[in-house]
Amino acid sequence: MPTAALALLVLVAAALVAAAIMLTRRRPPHVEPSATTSDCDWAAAAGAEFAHLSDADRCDLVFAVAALEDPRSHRLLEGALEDPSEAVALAAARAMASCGRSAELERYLARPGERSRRIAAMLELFT
Amino acid sequence: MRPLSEVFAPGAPTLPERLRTLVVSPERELEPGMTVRATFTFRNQGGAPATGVRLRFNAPDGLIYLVGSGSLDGNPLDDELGNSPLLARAGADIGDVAPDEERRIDVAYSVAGAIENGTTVELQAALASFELPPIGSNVVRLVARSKPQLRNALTRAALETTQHPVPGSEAQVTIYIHNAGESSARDVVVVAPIPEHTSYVAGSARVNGRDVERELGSSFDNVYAPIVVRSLPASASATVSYRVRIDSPLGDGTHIVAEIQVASQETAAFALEPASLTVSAVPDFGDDRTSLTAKPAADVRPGGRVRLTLTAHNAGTAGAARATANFELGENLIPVRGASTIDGSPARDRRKEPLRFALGPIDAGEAVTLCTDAVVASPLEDETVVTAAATLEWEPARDAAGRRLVCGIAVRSDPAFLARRNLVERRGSAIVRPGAQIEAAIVVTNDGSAAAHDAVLHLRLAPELEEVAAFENSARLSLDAGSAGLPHADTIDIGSIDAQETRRITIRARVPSPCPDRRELLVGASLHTRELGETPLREAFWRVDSHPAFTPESSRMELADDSVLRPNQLALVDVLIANTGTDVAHNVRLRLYVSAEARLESVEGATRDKSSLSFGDIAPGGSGRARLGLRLLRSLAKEYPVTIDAVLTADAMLPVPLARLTIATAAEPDFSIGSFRSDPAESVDVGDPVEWVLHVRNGGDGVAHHVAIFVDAPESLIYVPNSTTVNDVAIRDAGTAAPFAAPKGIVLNEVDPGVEATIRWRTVVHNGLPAGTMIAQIARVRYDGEREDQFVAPDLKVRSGPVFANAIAGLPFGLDGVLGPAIGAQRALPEDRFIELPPATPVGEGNGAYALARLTSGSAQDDDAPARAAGTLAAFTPERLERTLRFLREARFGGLVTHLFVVRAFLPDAIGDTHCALTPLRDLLREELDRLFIKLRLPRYAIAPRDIETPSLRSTIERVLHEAALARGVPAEPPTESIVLRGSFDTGPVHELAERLGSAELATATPWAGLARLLPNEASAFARYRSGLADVLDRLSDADSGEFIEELQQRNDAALDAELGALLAAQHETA
Repeated sequence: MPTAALALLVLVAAALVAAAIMLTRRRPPHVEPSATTSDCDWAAAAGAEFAHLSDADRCDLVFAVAALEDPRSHRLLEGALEDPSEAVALAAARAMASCGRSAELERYLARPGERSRRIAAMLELFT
Repeated sequence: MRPLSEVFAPGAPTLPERLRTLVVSPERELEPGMTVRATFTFRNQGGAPATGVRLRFNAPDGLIYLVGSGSLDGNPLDDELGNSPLLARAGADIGDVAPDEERRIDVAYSVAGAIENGTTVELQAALASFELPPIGSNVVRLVARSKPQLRNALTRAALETTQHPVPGSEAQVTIYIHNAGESSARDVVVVAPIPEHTSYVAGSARVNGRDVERELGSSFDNVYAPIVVRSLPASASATVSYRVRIDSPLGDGTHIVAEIQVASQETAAFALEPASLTVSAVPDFGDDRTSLTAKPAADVRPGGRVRLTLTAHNAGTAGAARATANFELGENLIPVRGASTIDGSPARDRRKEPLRFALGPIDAGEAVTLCTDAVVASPLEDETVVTAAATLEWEPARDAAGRRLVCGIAVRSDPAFLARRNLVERRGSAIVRPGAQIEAAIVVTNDGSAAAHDAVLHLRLAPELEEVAAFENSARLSLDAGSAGLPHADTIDIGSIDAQETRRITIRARVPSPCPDRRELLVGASLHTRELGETPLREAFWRVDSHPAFTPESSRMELADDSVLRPNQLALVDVLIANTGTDVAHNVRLRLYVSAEARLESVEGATRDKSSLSFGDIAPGGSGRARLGLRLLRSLAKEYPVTIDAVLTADAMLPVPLARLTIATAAEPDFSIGSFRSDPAESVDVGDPVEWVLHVRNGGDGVAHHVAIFVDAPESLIYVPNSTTVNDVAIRDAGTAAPFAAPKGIVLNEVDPGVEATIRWRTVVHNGLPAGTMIAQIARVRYDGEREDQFVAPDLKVRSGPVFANAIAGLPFGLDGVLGPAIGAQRALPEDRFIELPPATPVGEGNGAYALARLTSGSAQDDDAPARAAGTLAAFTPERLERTLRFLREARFGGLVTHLFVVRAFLPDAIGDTHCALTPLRDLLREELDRLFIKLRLPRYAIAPRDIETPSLRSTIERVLHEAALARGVPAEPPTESIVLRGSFDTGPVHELAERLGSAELATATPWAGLARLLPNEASAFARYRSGLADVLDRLSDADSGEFIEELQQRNDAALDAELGALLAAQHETA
């Protein structure tokens, strides 16, 4: 009897492990919200409450600022081009292109570097 | 010949009797102790001296040489030590004996004290010399006469017991036999009958400690006169003993006598002095085994039951014929009738003398147990000792015939406060509101058997309670501060509480206001008494029913100033919320519903979470204030003010809608700024073409719904037909006149703020104009039926020179009117210019548009007819198509969201013959999805509903779908060479989807299902993809926003992705 019970226990454990593996494979990966944050001077210049926004929130901030079309927002957008996140910088470039501020954008894209080249390539796709 | 030394050796034969001169006295018989004298005389009968004569006597058994008795011729022979040479082996040296010399030797013996009767004693003397061998005298034989003597003082009998001779005990009969005679007593016989009133203890007979029954072959008591000793030597003793058991019962004083007779062969039987003992037999209840006990005997509580147990043990040697017991219980012991038992059996319950019990006879060694129960009376002071007594009497008895037994019962008495009767009773409802008064009664009941002293009530009150007071019988009690640090005085001294007394103290207090909801208010108490210490009482609880409250009157939204909200301007709105309730409002949130055209731009004083403001917690009476910055995003008509609805929510509170805030908006189109110029700008030769460019822009903040542009055409200019374009789109002339010269002019609809329109047309300067003619053109822009702005083009000066000749080289004739400066110059308007003029656009089905080959006309009521369909068209330049394909490759983020970008990329440019809002829709889609595209490039970005659809996008989609549902025909071919993607759709499902959009939640699948049906499907790859995408989106039509977004980001449809891949590959080849 102890041998049979041990064998039954091993079978149950193996079934549980197999079920766990199957569930892990079938379950779609959980999407965690982007929580990457970084301190950006340009965001802080927009307001103290924006100093520690996540990348996604800074993208939203860029789009919100772009709608203002005033000198202060222009400066913020230029600052956003230097954002550590390339996506935020791309958002700023996209916003500047939409606002017709091509001169400042061209100056930025004319910089040598892989990042400005990539942003320029992506901007071309948006047109 | 034996030497002298060997003649009397043991076992040696006697010497021959050669000399009969030995005379012994007595001559025949000896008796023990008798002196035997022997005289031996000899004479040298010879002739020669006998030299070295030596004489020796034998020393027979039973005779003892008398020291000093040996003499030779009267001279002692013994040495100084008393040793006689006559008995020595070498004999006594007689010396020489002359012939005929006679010598005499005397010697005396004593007969031994114990010599067996009949023993023969032989005396002989031996004489020897150097010359003569030993010769023997005559042998004198004496016979010993002796007898045993058993009858002496040492022969006696004894009857003894180890303890008191009581019935049933054992006694030992001991017979001491002593032979005081000179010879052994043979066959000593004892007659020892078992004494009366006793019985022989089997196997107990011993002779000199040795079991004799085995030798007897029978039990000792069954053999009469057994031989106990075969031979009892003289002076020897023998002991015969056996045990007997005294009969029981036996009367007190009974004598037990052992009568013994002893005899032997030599001694006639004689009786010994009888041995006796007297039996003691009386009942006795005097030892400790007779007792009176109480159980329990200590710590007995009043009211407790005590079992009294009288054990009457007859420790005496006689039975008690009658025994009675009589209990005596004090006043604090109450007998329990019917509970008495004797030896476990119920005792008879007497009506009279119920505590007197007849125990009956009690044999010796037996005991009777009498039990009776009593109850300790209550109340009773603590440490009282209650005495119970029992008198035991019995018969017969020698002296006192009774014994009184007493036992004490130690009573432990305490006050007692039972939990069920000592409590704090709540009066009134358990639910109280802040500010209400609560009342509780502290009930204290001493259910114990003793009074409680120094009673003090310690209250445990919820610290929030106010105005705490205590009353007893309407008298206010003083509350003393018991413990430092407590907000309330909590001690009430209520003195002593007698046994069975009940005290009732009323506690009143007021619930504070404000007070948190569900706060449990406690009124508890504990009673402290000297005897019991702290006794906790059951507590009373109230639960506070308190809530925060917000009202539309106290919480509101208001404009910070009276300014009118204009597009792209901020309007400041103050939000004031006040908690008028009695509890803290937790997690206060204000959900804003702002018109789709306005956007919440900034929030000060609250935390913003999407369209909700979080004020955190607001205390009762507290308020929260926030300032909102609202920006009007799009142009609005004046009659559509921005509204803000707000719903205030908080934990544990019903939502409170606040009064709607309406912000007046103002939006006006403005075409006052524009340009009107010509090319060339300043001067022109006659006959030369002039291109006119009118640049108008809605510089206002409102939509111009209807814009009419008129240009006054001077006669100095000749309009080039079909040359008018608006934003490079050719438009139809009005007959032979330019469209702007028509009565309705060039009409633009729905011109959004910031939108520019560039109207170009060409003219030719009349070649008949004189030089210096100034050409002026005025354009008028009339919009919204009220306003009109004018643009005046700079004057264009006509150049012309004089001409005299009319003959020109190459012409075979002279020609009048030849233009002077232009002679030989290139013609101003080459022929192909006219060829390149684009066809008029837009065109529709009703004005000569292409008809779809697969569409047939028919009424909607015709069941056999196919469903009504409309065509779509999307035109791409190769470069744009290539960029679009690259964009879609970059947009493969996984999940269904990729396909939203496909909808954005291939949204048609035209649908049927309708002029629908595809351009705004494309712009909005591009704006929204480009943002989403950027965000999705962030690692692990989770799509939010606002990333998918906004209210403005929804309204635009809804409008496009409604218009598409009404569309007919197919769009016209694009004016420029391009890659055209065509499609057609059934307007019915589109109409249905458009209708559902009104009630559909934002960020759901329905609008995308509608847009998907507008995608091209003429190419097979597009057709398969569009069908698959529509199916997928239709299946998600019932999904809510969260589920749809989950599908967008998580669901991978391999088949649909494959179709998209095939589509992109096909288009890539096309591009």
